[in-house]
Amino acid sequence: MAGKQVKETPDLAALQAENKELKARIEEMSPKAVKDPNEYLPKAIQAKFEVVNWVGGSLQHFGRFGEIDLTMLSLVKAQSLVRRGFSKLRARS
Amino acid sequence: MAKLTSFTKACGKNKPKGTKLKCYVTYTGELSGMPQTREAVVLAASGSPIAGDTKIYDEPWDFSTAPTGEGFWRSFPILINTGQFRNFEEGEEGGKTMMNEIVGFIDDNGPAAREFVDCLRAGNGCIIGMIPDKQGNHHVCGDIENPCYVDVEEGGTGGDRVGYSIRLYSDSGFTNMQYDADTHGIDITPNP
Repeated sequence: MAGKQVKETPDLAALQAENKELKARIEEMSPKAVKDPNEYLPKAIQAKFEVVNWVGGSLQHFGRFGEIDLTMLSLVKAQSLVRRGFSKLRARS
Repeated sequence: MAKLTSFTKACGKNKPKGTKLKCYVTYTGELSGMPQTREAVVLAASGSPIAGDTKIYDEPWDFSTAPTGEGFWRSFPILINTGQFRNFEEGEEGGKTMMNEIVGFIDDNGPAAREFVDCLRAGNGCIIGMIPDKQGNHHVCGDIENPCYVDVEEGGTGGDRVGYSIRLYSDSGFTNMQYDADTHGIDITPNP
């Protein structure tokens, strides 16, 4: 006669702890919303330029100014944007 | 009651017909409201609006209430010389309305293009469209209360062209608004 199959009771506490740890890791890996858009700028650019009145994500399209990604902004591009009258970027005095 | 004022011709400016490469779409549910018009912004700053200010959105699009991964403008390319933004009147005397429409051709029949077309059709009645003309003015089709509907009349491996003929249309009742993208930007990044 075949033995009865014993149903294993899952360790609820262990599963909950694992779930909590996984959620914390996902939270850590997810991109965070920045309060100050100047935080998107590379450090070298932050020292020389500041972002003003920027609303939304770091990558936006600005019509005749083209696509602007604050996280990848180079010195040459920043100088060009300010020279062409881009209103959201300003050279620090 | 709307009162007529003088309208003057602007001389010395080229006016090429048609649209630029990219058309933008987003879901009405991702916006927390429509931007203020330039007239409202100027009046709030105690200024005097000028002719045309009622037809320009002069604030960034507000995606702040959209969930993570949403709240941005998607784009798709339009085949050269097929893109157009139209306003046209419909209806009988006593019941006329003004329809707004973006038409264009997506010249691709690959799996990604077909998937995009299916998603666009699924957004029927839930989207707003925006397309720049050759002068860089971004024309907006639809709003939260009068969203765009989608027509994909035909498409596939082509008799004349490979791809899909797209039409986004809205019954706003008025000529379309435009958006100052040069100043306020088009957010193409999903909310974090």
